[in-house]
Amino acid sequence: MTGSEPLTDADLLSAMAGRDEGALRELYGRHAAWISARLARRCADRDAVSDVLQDTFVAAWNGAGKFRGEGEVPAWLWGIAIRRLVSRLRKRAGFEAGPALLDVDSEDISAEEQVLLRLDYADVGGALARVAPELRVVLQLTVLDGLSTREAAVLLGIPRGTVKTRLERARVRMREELA
Amino acid sequence: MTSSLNRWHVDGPTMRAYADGAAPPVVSASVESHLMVCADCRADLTPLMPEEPLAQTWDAIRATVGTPRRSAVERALGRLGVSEESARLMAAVPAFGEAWLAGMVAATVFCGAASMLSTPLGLAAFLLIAPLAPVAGVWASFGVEADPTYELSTSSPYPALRLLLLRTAGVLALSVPAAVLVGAALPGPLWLAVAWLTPAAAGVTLCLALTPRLGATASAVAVGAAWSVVVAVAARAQHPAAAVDLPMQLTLGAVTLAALAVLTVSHTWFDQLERQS
Repeated sequence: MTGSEPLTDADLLSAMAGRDEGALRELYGRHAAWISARLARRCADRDAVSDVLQDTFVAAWNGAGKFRGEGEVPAWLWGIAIRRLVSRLRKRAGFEAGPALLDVDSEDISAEEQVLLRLDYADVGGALARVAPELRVVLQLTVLDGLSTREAAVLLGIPRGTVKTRLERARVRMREELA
Repeated sequence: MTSSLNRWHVDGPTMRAYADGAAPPVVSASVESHLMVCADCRADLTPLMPEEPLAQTWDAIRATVGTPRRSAVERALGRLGVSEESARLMAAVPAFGEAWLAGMVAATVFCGAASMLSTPLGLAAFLLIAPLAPVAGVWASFGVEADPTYELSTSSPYPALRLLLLRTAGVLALSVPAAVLVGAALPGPLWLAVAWLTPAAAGVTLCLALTPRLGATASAVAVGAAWSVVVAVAARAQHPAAAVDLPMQLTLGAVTLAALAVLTVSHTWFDQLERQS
């Protein structure tokens, strides 16, 4: 390594497959904060978030050799993290849902935020803002978090059938919004 | 697609609100999508998150991955109800290493075989080796240089004495059944198969009690030498089993109790050892 070119996340994973703890440290430094923030939006219990974060990086350490470079490392890590959260919920009751899972309406989105959303996700953001909160939550878990309807049902504590219905309704609404 | 996303970045106030969990749901969802494809914004978010919990989680991760993967021994201990941390500390005892394991089993089996061939000398060899195998295991588990969990044990909240006792238990759990099996295969009365357990207990506790004063190696050597003398005297009198007869059992039991008493008193030494290291 000359050091001039920073190591990519995929490089770090292959170093981790060779049991390089320094690579794990670097990967943690790059990704722990956002994964932690994202988990915290789905689970209000800080200890649970820490546990899931820990499980995620231990799993990444043990499974680093299985990463074949398909897709991006952040998506791979998040896929581990959100599934760890789901499986934790399967095991124990008393889950404190985070704000992302609460289908209360976000009252008003400021004009500035509207602009921001338009700039980035153009119509999708705006459309997402206009669907009913309980539909938005389902969309977020399935489309953005990449969960199956079964897993989303566990996180939301509702029957799988309900998730499917809401997802269907959300799709129809989004199609109308984007048309 | 990536290039068009990268033209836009999460601005400071929005990122701050997101980090605090205060951003509205739709904004948060947008931020999260963007973070998946933008290393710059991920780096911007990092200093906004509380440092302490992340550091603690890192410590926990390091403690988990820094040791060898859970071995068969660890998993078995876990199933017996030993906590994960205790199991890790016990399983990392050098005595559980393959070389040690093989060596101890080979030595015991060899003595067993020898005793079947020529009775008095072979029996003496068995009575000599079987109690000393656990002592050697304890000595090995105290040698910090060769210990993969050395760092873990010095930074763990375990008192040094408790750690040592835990490991001793691990060593005994390993060496005792092997020697009992070999002993049971020996010709002669069945009680001989377990009679060496008292000298083993005396040897281990004595070794532990002497370690603060003489050091682990000297203690193990002293205990080994003392026991060798006992067995040699008995063997010389053409009656090696005398080394574990009833008076000896009682004597050795008393030695065990005395050593345990000393050990309890000297636990402060082990605590100091822990603080120094």
